[in-house]
Amino acid sequence: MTTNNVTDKLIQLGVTDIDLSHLLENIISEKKKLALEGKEADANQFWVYEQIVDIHKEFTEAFELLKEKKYYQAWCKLEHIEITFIFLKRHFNYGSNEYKLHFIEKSVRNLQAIYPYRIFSSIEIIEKEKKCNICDKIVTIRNHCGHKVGNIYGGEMCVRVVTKCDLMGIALVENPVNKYTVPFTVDPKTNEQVDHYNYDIVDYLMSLLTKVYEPWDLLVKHILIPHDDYNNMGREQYCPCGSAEKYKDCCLLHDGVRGLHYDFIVKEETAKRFLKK
Amino acid sequence: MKEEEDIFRVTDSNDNFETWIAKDFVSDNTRNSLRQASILLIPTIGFRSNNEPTFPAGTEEFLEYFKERLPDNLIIDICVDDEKYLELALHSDYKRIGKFLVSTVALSVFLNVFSSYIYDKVIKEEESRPTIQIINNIDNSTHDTIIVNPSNAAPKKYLQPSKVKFTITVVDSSGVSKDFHYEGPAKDVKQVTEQIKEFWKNDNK
Repeated sequence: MTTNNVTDKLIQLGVTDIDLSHLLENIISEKKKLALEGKEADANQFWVYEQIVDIHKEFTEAFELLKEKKYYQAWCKLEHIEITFIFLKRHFNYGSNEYKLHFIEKSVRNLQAIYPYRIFSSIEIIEKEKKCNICDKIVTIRNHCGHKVGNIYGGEMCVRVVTKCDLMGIALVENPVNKYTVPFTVDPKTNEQVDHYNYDIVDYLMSLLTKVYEPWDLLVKHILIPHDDYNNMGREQYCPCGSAEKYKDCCLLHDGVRGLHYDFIVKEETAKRFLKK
Repeated sequence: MKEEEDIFRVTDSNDNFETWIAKDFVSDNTRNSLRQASILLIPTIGFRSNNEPTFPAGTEEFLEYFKERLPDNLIIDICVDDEKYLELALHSDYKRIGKFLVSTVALSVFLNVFSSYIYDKVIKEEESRPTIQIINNIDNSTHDTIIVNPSNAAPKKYLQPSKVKFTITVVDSSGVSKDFHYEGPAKDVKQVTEQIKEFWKNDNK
């Protein structure tokens, strides 16, 4: 597999149907071969291709999972894509239309905006020993192997692997380092996990879209919802805006309850198709 | 949830290079090399147990970034023995950058590199992300306002720009020192570093 073969395929991403798993396997195999031959720069270039195809594969799978209403699994794919973008951007600057990367990055961000998840668990640890994933040597603060975190060596990105640590605690946070850790409730009778979140907004978007690369955008509006809509709420209860303050000390002091409204912007044919349903 | 308020606080300090280098988690060997430093990364003490020093996640990258950029006459080091180095990964709404002891001769260069570090490691990637279009219909404005770079208006906290937290202790040649503590948006760090330079200049006129 040559660089030209790969870039020809990358141009077709999102345009024609491609077996992404097969393409990814070929790219990884070629990358390993190049690394073994000592062709460092070529292997590193194939690492970039690998990330691009991985992003497309994960995005396609997330779309399918959302269609199947497997929301949490789709959420994990979106998180994986966000992290992959952070790594990729250190080594590859892409234009607004290159390999449909901008479309995917924007879609992921917009999807994260409409998901109902707000709170995440997050571990607090004391890291006592780390290794370099490239050379497997223990790294200390004054003596390390020379491999720099974030750089690519022989087609692999350098990270530190924590080999000894103490778990200090688990915190609930709104802005975690990664967002895989969504808390779910448990049914007290069956002791099974229950997905208690409301995904109506995600479902509404997915009812508009039929194809993974169908263009769409999001407009978030901060609005005031009339107090009449919350007649059943007592003044001493928590404010329905989610501030964690009492209703009487929060939105009841204003003209309405602070809320969000989402507008989906789709292409004309998408809207027509939806209205025909 | 209530928004935390941004903080930029200047206070007198009793810390200086001698008080930190004398700590018992620094061996004689390390102590001798630390005496050459004009910038020291200092730990948080006692997070888990009394007298245990810990440094924030990302300290290795921070140290490397500075070593590559500082001129030869300015030395940066870390105030702990290698075998006692522990990294604390704590997760909150702030990225913890760390605590630093800086002599006045190194202050200007330190602040310039510090500000570049925050840009390269935090702001640059965030600025490259696609924006979410947000309209505020609450403030009774006669027209909709599209906020191109959402700040606190982003619908979820994890979509908002990063905030950072750090303390810089500046020590003059006579050993007198001041703490500059900041908790707030990463994008304002450049302005904060300029204020520290200005403060130190005016205070020493």
